[in-house]
Amino acid sequence: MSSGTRSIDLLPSAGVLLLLLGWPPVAAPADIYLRVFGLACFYGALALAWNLVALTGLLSLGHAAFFGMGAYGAALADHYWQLPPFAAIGIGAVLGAAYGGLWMATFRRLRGAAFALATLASVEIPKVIIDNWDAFTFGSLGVVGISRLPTLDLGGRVLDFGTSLTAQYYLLLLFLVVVGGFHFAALHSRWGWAIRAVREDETAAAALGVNVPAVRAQALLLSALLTALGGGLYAHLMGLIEPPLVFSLHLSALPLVLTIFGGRYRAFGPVLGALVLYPADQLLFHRWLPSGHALLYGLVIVIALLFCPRGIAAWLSWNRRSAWKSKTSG
Amino acid sequence: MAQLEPPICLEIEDLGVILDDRPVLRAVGFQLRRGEIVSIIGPNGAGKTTLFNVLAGRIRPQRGRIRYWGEDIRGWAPHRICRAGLARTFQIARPFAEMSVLENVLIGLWFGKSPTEAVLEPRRQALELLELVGLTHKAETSAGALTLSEQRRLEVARALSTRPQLLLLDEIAAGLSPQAVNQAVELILALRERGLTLLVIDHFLNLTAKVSDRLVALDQGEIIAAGSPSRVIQNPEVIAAYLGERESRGDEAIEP
Ligand SMILES: Nc1ncnc2c1ncn2[C@@H]1O[C@H](COP(=O)(O)OP(=O)(O)O)[C@@H](O)[C@H]1O
Ligand SMILES: [Mg+2]
Repeated sequence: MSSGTRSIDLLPSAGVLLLLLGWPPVAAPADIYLRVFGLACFYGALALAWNLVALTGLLSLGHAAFFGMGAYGAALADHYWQLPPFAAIGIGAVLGAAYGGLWMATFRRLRGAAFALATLASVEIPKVIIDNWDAFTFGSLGVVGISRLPTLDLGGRVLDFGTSLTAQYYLLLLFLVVVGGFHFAALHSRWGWAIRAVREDETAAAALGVNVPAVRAQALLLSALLTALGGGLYAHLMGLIEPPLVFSLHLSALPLVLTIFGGRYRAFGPVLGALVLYPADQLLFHRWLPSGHALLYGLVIVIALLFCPRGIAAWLSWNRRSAWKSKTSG
Repeated sequence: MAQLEPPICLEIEDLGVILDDRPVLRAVGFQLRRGEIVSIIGPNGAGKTTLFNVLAGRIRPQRGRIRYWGEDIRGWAPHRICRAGLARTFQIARPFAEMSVLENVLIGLWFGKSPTEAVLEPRRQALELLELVGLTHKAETSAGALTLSEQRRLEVARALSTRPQLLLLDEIAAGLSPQAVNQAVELILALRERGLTLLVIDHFLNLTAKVSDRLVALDQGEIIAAGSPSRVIQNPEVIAAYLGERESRGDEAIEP
């Protein structure tokens, strides 16, 4: 197994990540950095969750559906039942996973562009329903006044997730680490090999004993659940949500951009993409072109696909030379 | 009865398959006993590969029964059939192109039986299988870089990695040099020695005479002859079927 080369590859990636992540609280605890890097962690986690499906060989353009379901599930559970925020977020996550189950049942036979288009369209269904069901969801007005996250007392160290940017930063970092754990397993475990076999040739994989539908289902449900969890967190952090905000194309496309830029087949690829691109966009690009995200991300995708199809994480890998050689000689 | 016959491994009855509104297999039936080597011959488009796809669970037959060690496996998913011990190769090889040759074989070792079953020394087992098919020197090469005949040998190693009892080989000797064909013959006989039962598709008849206990000749989805190799090959209907193929293709029956 190439675990030797893989573990070497982890070191530089982990180093870069630690540098970037350690930076805001230590060096520049200014609010703007906490905000930007906290959200970078958040979008990194969403990218990792999205990639769980992409690793099985299917490109989703509809993950905003899970995000929105998670956000609305949590917000409405909070509004109607006054559940504790983390319980409400759990309800949203289950709702998102249920929508993932619906994808599984209805898109079972779709591959390639057909799957991508179906997922893109599937965002509109919950969005339109929520937009028009004024009596229950408040329609286009959105849900406001969602409870703040609670304060946690960890033996003297108080983490006020409701108002402290530092605490929120650590919460989002934790979210990133949790999703990153699942993503790591989807690459470097026996399950990861099943996923890879399914991605490369599902017919051959099935003939060798891989339960293809189960592998696909596990990846999709986990991906939907984690994305919806992100939606619920977002609802409680922001305090208000409305349909176009949480069912947006931007939320479906961003994980794809970050992942392709960072590296699709690396444990840290999507995170790296998020930690480089999102802050670059917010701190640098945003000043010149306040509404130019789409342009930046569009350019990044084109450039990455043309010049670095395996993402920037591939640059950090020790074995890039040999990979390059085998490509040119092959 | 003077001798106890080995148990029936595979029993097919009245199998019917329709694809795109066209019958591709009609009333196909035969059986295989443990340790037998049976070859399926017939012109291109006779339905040989389709039969394999049905047995391996990739195509659902419209009618008929398939019993494997007495159990009806019709309608089972491919991975379940594999785990029950029925493995196949693909006529057009399907390597995991971005994995190494060794990793291709490891997939079968890990998933070919129960997914929770521990696999002892998978790497050593994989290397042994590569040795058996003569691919040891390519273990670390990416499978996409193999030649066609190497890809076919990888198909065999991968199918064996699932530890099958019944192995379906689809034209593994097509287009090989006489020397390579002999290697394939030896491999098949060695596998039988290990206790495997084999069903072999052999369109070009270059394995048949040397290894088969029996032949089944297919033409247009129907069995037109079955029995001992010498008898089936001389059967006028079989000869006519092969000649017909040659005529319709302008005397160019040999594929690359
Ligand atoms: N998936 C499919 N859909 C429609 N027709 C098919 C399919 N697979 C095979 N066929 C048709 O079935 C017939 C038998 O094909 P095949 O089993 O590949 O023949 P052989 O392996 O004997 O050359 C051919 O006419 C082929 O066109
Ligand atoms: Mg064929």
